[in-house]
Amino acid sequence: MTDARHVSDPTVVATNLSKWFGPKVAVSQVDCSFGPGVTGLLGPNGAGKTTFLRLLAGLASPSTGEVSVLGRAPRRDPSIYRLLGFVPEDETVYEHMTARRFVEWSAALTKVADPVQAARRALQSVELTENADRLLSTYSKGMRQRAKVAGALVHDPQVLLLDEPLNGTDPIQRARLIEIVRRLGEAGHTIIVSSHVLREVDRMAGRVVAMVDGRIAAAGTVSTLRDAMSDQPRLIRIDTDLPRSLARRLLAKEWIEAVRIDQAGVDIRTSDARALGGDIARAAQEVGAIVTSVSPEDESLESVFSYLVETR
Amino acid sequence: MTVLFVIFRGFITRLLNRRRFFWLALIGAAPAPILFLIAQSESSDSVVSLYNDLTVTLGMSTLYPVVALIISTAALGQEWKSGTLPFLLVKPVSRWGIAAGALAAAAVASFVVIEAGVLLTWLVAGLVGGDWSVGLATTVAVAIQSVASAAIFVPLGLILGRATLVGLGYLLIWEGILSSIIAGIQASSVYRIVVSAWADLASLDLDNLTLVLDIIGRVEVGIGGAVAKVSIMALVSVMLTGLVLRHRDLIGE
Repeated sequence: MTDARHVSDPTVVATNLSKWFGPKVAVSQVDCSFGPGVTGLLGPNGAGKTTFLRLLAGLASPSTGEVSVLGRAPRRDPSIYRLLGFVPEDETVYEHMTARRFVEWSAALTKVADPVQAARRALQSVELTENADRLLSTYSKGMRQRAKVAGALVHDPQVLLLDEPLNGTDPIQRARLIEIVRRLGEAGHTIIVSSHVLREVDRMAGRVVAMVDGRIAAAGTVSTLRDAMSDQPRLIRIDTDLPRSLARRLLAKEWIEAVRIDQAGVDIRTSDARALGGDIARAAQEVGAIVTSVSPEDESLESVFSYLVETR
Repeated sequence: MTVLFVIFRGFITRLLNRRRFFWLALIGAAPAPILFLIAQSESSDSVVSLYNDLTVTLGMSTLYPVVALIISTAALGQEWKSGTLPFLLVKPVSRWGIAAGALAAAAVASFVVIEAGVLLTWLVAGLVGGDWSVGLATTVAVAIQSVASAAIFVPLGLILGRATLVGLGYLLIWEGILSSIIAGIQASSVYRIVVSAWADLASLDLDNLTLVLDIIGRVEVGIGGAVAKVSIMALVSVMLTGLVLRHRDLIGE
């Protein structure tokens, strides 16, 4: 798992990064790197995601270790913010500003050549053009999130850090934000997006870094995480016309741990999904059963993540 | 448009919202109705003298610094407490630039709000006392006081959660009590520095002059000295605020 924490073309690097507040350790000896594309930063509340992102953004000093963004330390060199965007988790915005004013203000401070045009494009990309002249205080939580994203990407940063950007968004807004993040990732930007809404992260992130108790519990693609957990029991659903016969036949194998039969099929918990996959067709043929579908019941990121948390 | 101006404009728009302006301007304008009521039974000369007394003993000592305290502590304090400071700190602007923008905005906002009250009092003095020149010295003194107050209270607002309360304590204990009884610290009293500048420009009768000399104690009358002291205060304030911004951890979790 150690190698999976690093990428071959890093733009953001955390080296032995720790942050503690008195006796509380928020981030502990995190060593990892991020490159172009979208990386999902997963973890339950209190896992240290926000602290980690703020360390990366230069908004907090590490207790130990270092942060490098495009070869520079954000804490010491504010000029890096021409290439770095950050969307904080807090719902707070400048309530006295309209979205357009806020994004233009962000553009002007990041020294964009034409702040007005850049703001127009950024607002368009998050589909806020129609409401751009309303005060941010009148915005819903989801709209505020989109305004913050527009403010963070108005200067077209090479690296974008998004802290729970999907919080409070409705399904349509969520889909829009996911699409924006994916597009930016595909365009070669380095995007690190934290979330506990795991299905959405699964949809936008090519790589996942899971944090638990301030440490990196796992890193890699969803499939590599799955492979890394090959010793974990897996739950497979088989829909068939003869569930009882098929279950009886499969139970003879040592890698079957448990079986639950219902009228439409059978749920099988196995310690070796690969072996089960290879044996299903043979078993069905032997008992004369028609198998209509075979599907993993627990392959969502939620279950991957819960495995990680439970097995630490 | 320079980045510093963008920062300044952002701060001042927030500081000068309508509600805050209205209530604080009312505080700053408090000497006006007092002057009007007392002036009904006074001669014209007395009205000018009364204006001077009210300005020094009520305005500059209490009302104007309180207004400047509330505005200046809010400049960065409000950004910090409301959670909007990260928006500002993730911009490619030096921390000293942000500090300078905040200080300038706090000083200008304080001046604008206080001056609204000064103008009203000036108007009363002009109409009732017939002397339209009295407010000029006050306007200059308020400008100096606004910068000095911003220099003290902008960093205080960033450092302390209860900056306004601590600032009131400072005004009462340091400026009000200690500086009156300990001659050695009078040179560092903003109130006395401001009055020394004001006295240099105002036309004072003997009573006024006696009052002023009693207040400023060891501080010499002179606008040059006051401007120099306040400029140094502003410079130190920007450096300090920049350092705090540079080292402050903004952790939301």
